[in-house]
Amino acid sequence: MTATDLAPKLQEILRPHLRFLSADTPVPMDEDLGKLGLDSMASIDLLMDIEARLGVQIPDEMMTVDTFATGNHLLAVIEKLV
Amino acid sequence: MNHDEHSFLPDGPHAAWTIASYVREGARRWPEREYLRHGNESLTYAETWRRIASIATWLDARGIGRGDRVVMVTENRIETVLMFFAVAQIGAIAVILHPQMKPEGLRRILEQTEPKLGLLEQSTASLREEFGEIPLVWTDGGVRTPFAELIATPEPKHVPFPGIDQDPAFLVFTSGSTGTPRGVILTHDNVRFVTAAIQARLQYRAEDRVAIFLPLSFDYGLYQLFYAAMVGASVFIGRPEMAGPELPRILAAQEISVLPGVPTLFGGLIKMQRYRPVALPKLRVITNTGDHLPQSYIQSLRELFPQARVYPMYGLTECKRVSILLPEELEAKPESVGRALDGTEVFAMDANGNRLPPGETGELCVRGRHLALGYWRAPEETAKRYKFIGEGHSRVLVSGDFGSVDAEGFLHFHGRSDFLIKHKGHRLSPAEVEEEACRILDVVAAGCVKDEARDQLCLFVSVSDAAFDEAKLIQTLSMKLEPAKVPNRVIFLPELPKTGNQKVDRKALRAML
Repeated sequence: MTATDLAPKLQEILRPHLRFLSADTPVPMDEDLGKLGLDSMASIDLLMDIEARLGVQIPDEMMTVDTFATGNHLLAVIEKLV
Repeated sequence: MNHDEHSFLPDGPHAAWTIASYVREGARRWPEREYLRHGNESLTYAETWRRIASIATWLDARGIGRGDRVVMVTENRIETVLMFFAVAQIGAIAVILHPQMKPEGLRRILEQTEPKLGLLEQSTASLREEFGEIPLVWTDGGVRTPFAELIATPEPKHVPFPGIDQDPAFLVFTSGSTGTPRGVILTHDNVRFVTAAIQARLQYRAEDRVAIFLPLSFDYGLYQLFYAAMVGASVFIGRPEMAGPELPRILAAQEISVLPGVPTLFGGLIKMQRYRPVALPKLRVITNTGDHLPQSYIQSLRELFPQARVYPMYGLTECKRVSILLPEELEAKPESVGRALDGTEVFAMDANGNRLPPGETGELCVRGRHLALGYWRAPEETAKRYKFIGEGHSRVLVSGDFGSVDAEGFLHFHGRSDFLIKHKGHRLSPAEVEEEACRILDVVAAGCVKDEARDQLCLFVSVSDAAFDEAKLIQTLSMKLEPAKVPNRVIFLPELPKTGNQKVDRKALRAML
């Protein structure tokens, strides 16, 4: 998968985890994911989804609050892994 | 009572004990031990006390004193802890609020408390307007007083506590039965008594590192500061957001040995440890509060952390803690939340106010020195929950929860009343969620209940427009309510069931789940 394919794919994975985001709004990649409804439990499900669907494993040292802060933070981490 | 209690007495025999005495005494007994750590910062007991004394001197110089309120709205951080103790030391009353507080909720609390000072940080700067003319201190810079100025106060002195230990030390705001937030008034003595009683069961040690992931606005997060200081342990000040995928890694890196949490946190920890385990050999004490810990969670925690002692507990802010079950009692009493704390009493009461015999279910009532003074500026609600019963006029906390106490004194919890919901460690009033929902155009009626089996907050609504959009409803509510109060599921009904006096019948709604 190329980097350009990755952003839309990640948005698709993110959407069901963002419960405060309405269906007709595109996933804002710079917004705080907590404000979009991602709580700590949901971020664990998100991690599992990302790893299963993108075939990557987020390394231990990247497993931080900052990585899960915004869509773009996640994208930056994943881009290095694919 | 613990014999150590007397060594906390300050200078003179008549000087009163305050919650800050824990730190002051710690600075004398184990000055070089670490007390607080957060990010890259670490403070010893001696340095923590020095800073508290500086801040107390600063507050005193500004005329803040006995009975005045100081309201803090920040993420969990060291500055908030320092301000909290300094405020209590000068006899003023500390109020720590949740950083995700919405402006409307904050306004109602500021109207009730009329603080002389506020503490904010950049992440809560949007709430500044609500404080109006009230002077503000900023933990991290800002337009007016920066925190560094307080810590650098020249010639800090020991500001003597002007009150008695029955004075309020702080308020913990929690949902009231009406939807208006209520401040539970805790005294210095309440804390001293309950901390010793809890320590007698949990046995924290000097070499422990205790993690706070719960917000400091939530009493179980806050009280870790006391439990740790009583024995000279270290406190890692974390934040609720850390309780996600990164939690096991943080526990390992910080060498956490005591983990207090709520079922949601433990659910996440279990999930992550199953998915990608991290070795946590230091973890030796796990305590649960806030909501009932399911049997399956207890089993999983014991499997994943065989070296750790798991303590299910029950309590409510109005007296902090009611009961603790010891790990060795778990086999015999798997469904119990333990015996009442030493020197306290819990019993079930029937609808006529009579004490029920062992094994019979009724409303749980609590007695003891840990009972708070009541609710701040709310005499009617206080009188409803704190009653005087019997010929001896015993003061009793009527909990609003239902359960039974068996012949051996073990408490069995059967459920919350319909007026309060415990969800994701938050106590919330369904009335508050319903009120917000009914403010939305086209919503005719709303009823909020918790689906305990799925751990979901459910909102039943009837609407006047058939094309009403559920996503829009959730999104609108998310702007008005703190995240934990936003329903997970919306169920549309043509009409909601009503009770005899025309209120939404939440019991009937729960039966529909």
